[in-house]
Amino acid sequence: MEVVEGEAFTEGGEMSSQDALSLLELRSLTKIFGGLAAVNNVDVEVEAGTLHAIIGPNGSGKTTLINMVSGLLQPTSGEIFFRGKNISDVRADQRAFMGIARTFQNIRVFGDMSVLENVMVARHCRTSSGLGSLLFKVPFKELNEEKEISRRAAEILDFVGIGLRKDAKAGSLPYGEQRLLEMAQALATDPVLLLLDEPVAGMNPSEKELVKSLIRRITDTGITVLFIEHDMEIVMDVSERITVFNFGKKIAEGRPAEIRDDPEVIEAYLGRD
Amino acid sequence: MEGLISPFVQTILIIGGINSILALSFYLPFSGGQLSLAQGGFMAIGAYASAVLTHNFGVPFAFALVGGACLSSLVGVGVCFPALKIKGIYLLLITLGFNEVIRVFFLNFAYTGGVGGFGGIQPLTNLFNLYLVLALLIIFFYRLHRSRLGRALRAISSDQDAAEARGIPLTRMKTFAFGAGGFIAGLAGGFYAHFVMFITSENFGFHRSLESMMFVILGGSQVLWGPVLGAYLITIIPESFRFIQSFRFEFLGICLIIMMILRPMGLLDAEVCRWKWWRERLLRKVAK
Repeated sequence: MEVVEGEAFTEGGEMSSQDALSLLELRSLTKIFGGLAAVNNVDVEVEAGTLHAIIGPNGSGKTTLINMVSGLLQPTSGEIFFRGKNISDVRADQRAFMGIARTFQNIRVFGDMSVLENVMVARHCRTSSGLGSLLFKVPFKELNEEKEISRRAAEILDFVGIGLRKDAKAGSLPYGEQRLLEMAQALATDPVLLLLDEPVAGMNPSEKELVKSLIRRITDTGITVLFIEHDMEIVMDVSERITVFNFGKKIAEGRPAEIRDDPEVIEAYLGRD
Repeated sequence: MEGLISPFVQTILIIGGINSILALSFYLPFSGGQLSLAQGGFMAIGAYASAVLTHNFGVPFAFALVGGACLSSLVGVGVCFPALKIKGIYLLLITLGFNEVIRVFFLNFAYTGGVGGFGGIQPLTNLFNLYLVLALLIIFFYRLHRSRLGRALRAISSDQDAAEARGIPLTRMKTFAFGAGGFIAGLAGGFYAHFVMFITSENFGFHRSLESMMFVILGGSQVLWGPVLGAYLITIIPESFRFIQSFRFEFLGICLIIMMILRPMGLLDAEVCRWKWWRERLLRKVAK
């Protein structure tokens, strides 16, 4: 009975997403790597303001999907719509400007730069000072914009909870803090949609709690979050909607309670008996 | 000033200054992760163009210098198009090929003397104008390092894809890096031409580009003083060992090997350039 009710609810949700509510829409997206379809004809809709999780066994195409949405990979076929606009041919840096930010599964902070600089550099697309101000502004006087960038960057570092480490070299931070720094970088681009690729991978329980509350606080500011995660506890706890992948295909989608009981999902994770 | 310094020292100071500018021209794209071995070619364009302007058209030196540098900057922007797709060692080969294209062009271009070289250039380079430009460049690099553009370049050098995902436009930044690098190399070429007064395409071959890289690698590629120090050292070391005659270049090679073993990241890095580092070392010595 409960399941049926749930399904009815889901359908209603999808109906309403038709009328311009969906922030990100993937239409029959496909990526083929040398004959292997990493992502195979996938349709996903992410509604504005939701916490949407993507789960699935290793190698099921989740990261490939994120790479295509953030623009680092070109899809073999299919289309990506963001705020109703087809962005399939838009460069990654322009997508960041449009409001798509991401973190990486294998941390990719700029190790030689300070923590603060790492966040400041991510403000690039929201600021404009160029060669002109570099050459002609009064020497030895810090530019106003520069002050503003570093103030905002420090603010974001405080928000993710590593404000005290701002002068440290990014490469010298412990693993968990580097993950938080990446999230700070992503937030510094003023995103509308934040893509998190396994945000708590390799973290200890207390760090996980921290990230969990951070993700909640991020959605509270109005940012839509689409995240990949293996940690089921967090996924079930935090997310409002879950899409399940297996072998590059979407096998289920729905609210956490529905996904937990979906026989196909259980089979993908645990195998058939 | 001319009376105070012996001609020998003056020559060394001028060559050292020109080499420093050349080193900075390699350093700019390099700080954005772009290896360019075309700096010798850009220098050639600056040298020939400025020499033509002063010699054939009587243009004042300052304008000729900037004109030559602008032309070389334009060509630099042209080189950046293959650089948009290609990285690392492959980019090195492409830029090297570009250097040869420019060199052979001047070897065969009759208007600028072809094989016979371009002679009769006025000796307009002096310590004053050279060091004025070098000082301006150092101020520029100092400001660049702590600016929005400088940070973006360092991010690209550290991780190109991550930088792009963070909203840094790779195309625009690389165009800037190669264009500005070409401009600075063009300045070095202009000063060089108006110092030696006779230039041939041989002056701007592969070895010149390699030298520009050597300055930076030896001096240290993290801080702007690295390339400058490297340029002066490589200018001075062979000269100060003139008494062993032709073996002095052998000596330079040995010096390079030893220095790279002792400080593989270059002589200067961010640590050494910090006042605190020296103070702590001094305090430790005193404590002992």
